[in-house]
Amino acid sequence: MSQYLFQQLVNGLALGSLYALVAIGFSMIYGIVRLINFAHGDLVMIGAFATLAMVAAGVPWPLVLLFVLLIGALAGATIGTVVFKPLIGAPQVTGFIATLAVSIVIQNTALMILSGQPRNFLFPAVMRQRVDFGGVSASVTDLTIIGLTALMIAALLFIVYRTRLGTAMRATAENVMAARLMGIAVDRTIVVAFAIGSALAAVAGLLWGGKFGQIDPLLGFVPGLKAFVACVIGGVGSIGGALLGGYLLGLAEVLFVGLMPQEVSGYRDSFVFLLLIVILLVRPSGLFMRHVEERA
Amino acid sequence: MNGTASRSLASAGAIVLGAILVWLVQNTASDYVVTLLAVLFLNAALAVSLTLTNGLAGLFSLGHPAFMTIGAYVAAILTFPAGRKESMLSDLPLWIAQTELSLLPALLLAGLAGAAAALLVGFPVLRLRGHYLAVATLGLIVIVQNLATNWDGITRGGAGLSGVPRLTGIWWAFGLLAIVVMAAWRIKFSSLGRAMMATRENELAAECTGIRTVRMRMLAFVVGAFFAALAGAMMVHLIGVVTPKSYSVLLAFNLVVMVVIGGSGSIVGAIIAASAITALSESLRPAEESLGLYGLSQVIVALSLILVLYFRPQGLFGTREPELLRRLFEGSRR
Amino acid sequence: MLEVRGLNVFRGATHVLKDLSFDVAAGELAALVGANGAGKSTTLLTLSGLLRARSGSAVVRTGHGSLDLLRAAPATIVRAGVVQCPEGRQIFQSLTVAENLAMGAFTRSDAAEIARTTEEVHALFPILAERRSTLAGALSGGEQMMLAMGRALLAAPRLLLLDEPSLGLAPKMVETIFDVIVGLKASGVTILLIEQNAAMALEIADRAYVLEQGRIAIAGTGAELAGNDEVRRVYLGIGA
Repeated sequence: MSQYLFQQLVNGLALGSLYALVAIGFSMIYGIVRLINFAHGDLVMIGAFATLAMVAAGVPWPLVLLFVLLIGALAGATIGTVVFKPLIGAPQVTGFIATLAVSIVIQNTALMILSGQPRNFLFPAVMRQRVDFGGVSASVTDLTIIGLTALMIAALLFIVYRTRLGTAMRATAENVMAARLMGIAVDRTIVVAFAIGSALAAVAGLLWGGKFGQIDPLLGFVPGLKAFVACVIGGVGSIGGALLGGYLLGLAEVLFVGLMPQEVSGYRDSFVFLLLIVILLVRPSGLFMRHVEERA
Repeated sequence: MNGTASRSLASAGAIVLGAILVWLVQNTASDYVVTLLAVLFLNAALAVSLTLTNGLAGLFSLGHPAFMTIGAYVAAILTFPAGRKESMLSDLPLWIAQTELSLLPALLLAGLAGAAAALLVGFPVLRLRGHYLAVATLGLIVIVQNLATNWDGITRGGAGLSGVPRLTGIWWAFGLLAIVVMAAWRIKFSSLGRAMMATRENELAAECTGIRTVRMRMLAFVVGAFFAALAGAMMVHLIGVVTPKSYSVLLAFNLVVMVVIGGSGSIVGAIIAASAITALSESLRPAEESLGLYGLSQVIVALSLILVLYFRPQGLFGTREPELLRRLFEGSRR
Repeated sequence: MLEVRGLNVFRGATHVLKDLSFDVAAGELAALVGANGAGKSTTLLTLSGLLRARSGSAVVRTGHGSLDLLRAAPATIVRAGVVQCPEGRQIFQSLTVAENLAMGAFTRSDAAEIARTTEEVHALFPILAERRSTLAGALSGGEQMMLAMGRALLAAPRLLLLDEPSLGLAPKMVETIFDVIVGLKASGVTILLIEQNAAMALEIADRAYVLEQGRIAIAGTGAELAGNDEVRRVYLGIGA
């Protein structure tokens, strides 16, 4: 029994890693512009398709990773500059609809260019092997996901908490006016936050494709929403909260599917949303947040 | 002529005018155009009911498609021929499987089902605000879709219900539009409407003047859901098919676009915007097919929204109705 | 050092600053006093580039050249040595004391210089050295004020704009802060001080202005204004 549980833990960690990667970027953006970025999920899709294209062109994997990061950063910076800057200070709901519109534009443009057919996405054969340890088996893919995510998160935390740029981002997220008085180029800082957050989401796309084996232009919607739920669980706007929320959500979802009877497992997405509503009503500040926004 | 009488006369006049238009179209245009006009009427009805929820009461709800799905399935299941029903939907309780209702009762029950769902869901969800409410209502769409897909004993799962008797047509759609518009108009220009708008503007202040804001929000939400369910029920009997994915986030978005472009809070604006967008999507369809660019009309709609949000956020009419119509239907009152 | 001429600023539809003109000479401490809503904070926000002016000019002349503050970006203004310590401190509560100070030095690049300034600030406010790893939000009101000033000093200001430094502070702390301000002036920093606590401001000011409804109503030295009957009655609450 406990072996089964342990197995689920490993699966949950892998899924949670994906959610955490997307959630962190989402949280960084929310922290700095106070807007839910609906298009964030679509960056996962962009990362996945970019990977597909590069692999088909014969680019070696380490370079693919690097380029996906760059493409994600560029796409994110563009979205941030063109769409979000004009929206800062607009009513919450206006921003929400606008980012939803952007997401729809991205999804449908991808549909037009790529068609809705799911594409197969295969990691090199070695990734599908399974590794056994302590009675638990995990695919190399899952282990790679867990490991790579941990690395990226470590790098991100270093940037945010140990560099001047990171401190400037945190300062801007807290108090834009004071940041300006320090001479911080607020506009540039916002774009950088978008770039970094989006790069992480794009990598999540690369990993997502490898894990689930199939990608299509509408793939971003679900990860985007679940990233939002993860952020709410951990505390919106806090990077630590997004991390925690992402892993918790992954674990919760896997446990739900693993422990509930077969018929109920199709309701995994409903479960996630019910969780969201419960948390918003019961502990709206999440598990990590210091200040509470007005949301209920 | 006093206010009420002149208003009733004007309403009757508008309906007669509309009816004449519908009769003309039905007798001169092709089946395709007639169906298209019916869909347009239904979209307009949906947009107006969303104006009530979002515009008047300020609830940013994206949940309309969820209530449409509920209404569509309930109505379709009720009007389905009894014999086929028993075999196709095995988990249906026998007494439902053996009844076959005519359209009107089925529609009403569908509407009530939507309203009941909204009442149930509204208690927790309406305590949220702003974009959190929006995401929660998005979650409703996902939950209803999950239910429709998984509870295949009564919904036939992902395949959906097809062969639903085509019982509605353009007159039913016109009727719904007329009812929704009248209801919305009467609410908007009544003290109830003013209470809703007060709740939208400043909840704390509204409470202080004795308005039961919780009730206002719930009322707006439930009425909106009732009409959405009705629209869904009519839609399924118009085109004969419903699947879990029929009414999705995309539809929710398009409805929001209609409300925003028309001016959130303007009934006439919603009708005009709904008509324009429905017509646009339909006219672009042949181009999409021939060019293989599925999604083109959707991109155009989304881009239009972004432009409107940046350059004319109040939409066509803001929260007001066109002067002429207001004068006609409300007299010299504000 | 600072010449403000014909400054007109609107906030929304309200005309807050009306043709405002005043001077601050290099090395002196100028005080701007006035009632709430007179436009004092608006003046400082405009000088720091956070508000757009409708018309006018605000030229700062340092040894290195001149700059019209009304036509410069906030970052450029800070780099030119015009640094504000805003109303209500506005420290970064989620950052540590050390990080707050580091943000003050954001526009400077010479690590050795920054380290030296940090040492000076630590000497001036020892509590900041003691609590360098504490989150700024955990500091007391007086400590936050010291942090805010320290942060401003780390930008190596030539012209320091202080917005209501005494706000919300215990009287003893107010004295400490004002001692620091006087000391800063002595070390060569030009200071423009906004205060509702007119008495203390006029005591230490070389030059003072009374701002009334967006215009300078009375101007003179600190001592002159402190002795002015009108000022005494309206702003110092003395006499009747």
